[in-house]
Amino acid sequence: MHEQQILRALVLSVIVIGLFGLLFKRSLLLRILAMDVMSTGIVSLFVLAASRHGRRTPTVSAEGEAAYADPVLQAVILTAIVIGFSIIALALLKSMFLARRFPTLEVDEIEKEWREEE
Amino acid sequence: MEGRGVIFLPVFIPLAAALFCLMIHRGVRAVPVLSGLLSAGVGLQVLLTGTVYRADLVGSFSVGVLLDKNAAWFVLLNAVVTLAAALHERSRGRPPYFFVLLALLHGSLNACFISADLLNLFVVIELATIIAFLLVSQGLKTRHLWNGLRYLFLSNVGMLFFLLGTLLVYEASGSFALAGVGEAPPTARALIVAGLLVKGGVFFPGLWLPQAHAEAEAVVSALLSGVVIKIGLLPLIRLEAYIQDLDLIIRCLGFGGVFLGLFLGFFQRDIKRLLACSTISQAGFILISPEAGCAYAFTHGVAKAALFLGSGSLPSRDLRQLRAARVDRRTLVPMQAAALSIAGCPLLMGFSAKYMVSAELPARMGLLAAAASVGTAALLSPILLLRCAPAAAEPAWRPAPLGLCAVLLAGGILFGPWGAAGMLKAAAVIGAGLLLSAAGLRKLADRPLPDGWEKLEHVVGMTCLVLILITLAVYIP
Repeated sequence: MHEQQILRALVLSVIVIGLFGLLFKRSLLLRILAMDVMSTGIVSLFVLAASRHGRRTPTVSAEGEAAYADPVLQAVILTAIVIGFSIIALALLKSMFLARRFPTLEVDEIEKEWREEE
Repeated sequence: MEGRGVIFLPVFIPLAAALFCLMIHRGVRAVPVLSGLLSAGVGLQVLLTGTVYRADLVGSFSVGVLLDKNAAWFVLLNAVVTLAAALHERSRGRPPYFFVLLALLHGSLNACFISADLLNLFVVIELATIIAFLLVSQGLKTRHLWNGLRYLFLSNVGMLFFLLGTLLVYEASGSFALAGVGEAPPTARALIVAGLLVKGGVFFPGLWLPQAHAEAEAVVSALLSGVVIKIGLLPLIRLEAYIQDLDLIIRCLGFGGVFLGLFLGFFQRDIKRLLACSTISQAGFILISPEAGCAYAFTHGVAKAALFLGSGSLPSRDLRQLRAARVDRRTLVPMQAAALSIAGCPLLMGFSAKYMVSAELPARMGLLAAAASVGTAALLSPILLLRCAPAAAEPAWRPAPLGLCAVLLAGGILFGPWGAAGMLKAAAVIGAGLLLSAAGLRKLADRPLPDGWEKLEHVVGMTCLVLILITLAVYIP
């Protein structure tokens, strides 16, 4: 149990670090990466929560029932991983278009100048 | 319930038909119209007969879909706005890609409205967000790209909070049911509510909304303000019904949103930004009364879609220039009718919805709501006071906003109420709003707010602050 709590604290701090990156990084690219760090933290938290009562695959076997990992949470997080991946991919794609005009992708610069037409 | 397969029709038919027509390169433009008609049929059937369709996954962890009266209002709203947007853009000869996105958006929004558990909600809200993002940023101009990215960022942060909350709820209650949120630790409730507030554009988490809705194209703004923000509001309404102690918090946040939207709106000179601020305030209005909120959301969505569609045909976005020049009658009249409906003018459906809301509020809240209605009328008065010019030949007239106003009028006549007291009160509210605006509130628009509050990090930061505030509010009792 002790081990679980330490891991949980570590994973939660990853989420907070991601959030801080999202708030304080200057470059759009790094902010997108920070968002990915945050969602990776949440994914790990799900995996951690799923393994709380055991780590075996939940299949029936000759050895009888052993403590198994929660398959529901893993199924949920699989969906969330795919969604997170597609969102990051889309954000990166559109920021490639933005990078034509703002090569450094500095958020402050974009916020100042996006109103002016190219 | 027999025949519950009906529930899946408004979701799968638009999605499947859009993808199929995309593959055969034919008939894409008809898909949003047909799927809009289908959803309208399903929505009306549920509203008129009061049937409740429910389908659960076998051996589920409360994963299931639910189509009741509340959801039907939203499905109907989605149908009406999609139809208007599709017809509006067909008459402009838009390339087919837009119609594919529109049909996909329609299907995924319907999915959001019928989802009755946390897991489904997470998946379909993200799906709708991605499609809305594609719609916002399809112009590939800097402002479309940047505002699309901002929208994606904010939504994703909100949904990450929501996902975290979902995990905590599952750990506590072993299911994904919305009702299970009540058993979850307070942090989980705060996370879920904050995530939904971001999507619904309520209070400080909704501060991304003015820029996103103002800078998108007119038709996309109509879809965003009309329907897309409602995907966050319906789950909040359901939560209010299920969980007593969240009810008061969400109502307070709703009132906060109402007055924040009004406050920001008075400083706007740009008509689309003014409309977007009014959306923040109306989204709050929807939350203050869970029973009447759904009908209110319907009228607001239809009226706001008409206003945004009309704003695309205006010669300028600056309200001062619009007041100096006159505006084509055929563009202005539907916009003014929609604005009157939002302000609660009798004969229009906004009046019926406002009446339903105020009928069930406790006295003290009713007073606040009346003050908010006066504010709404004052906020919209610059649009109400624009002057007509005779119809011109150019640009060509687009009838979709007028169709939306016909829906509002039909609803207003159908729902009444016809009592003289209510009508007099509504007229007094609008009159007070106009007077207030003339007395000086209108001058606020000449003083722009200090720059920079809309920066991405500030909006994300505000969302985090509200999350902390809600957590405190849930913990303290």
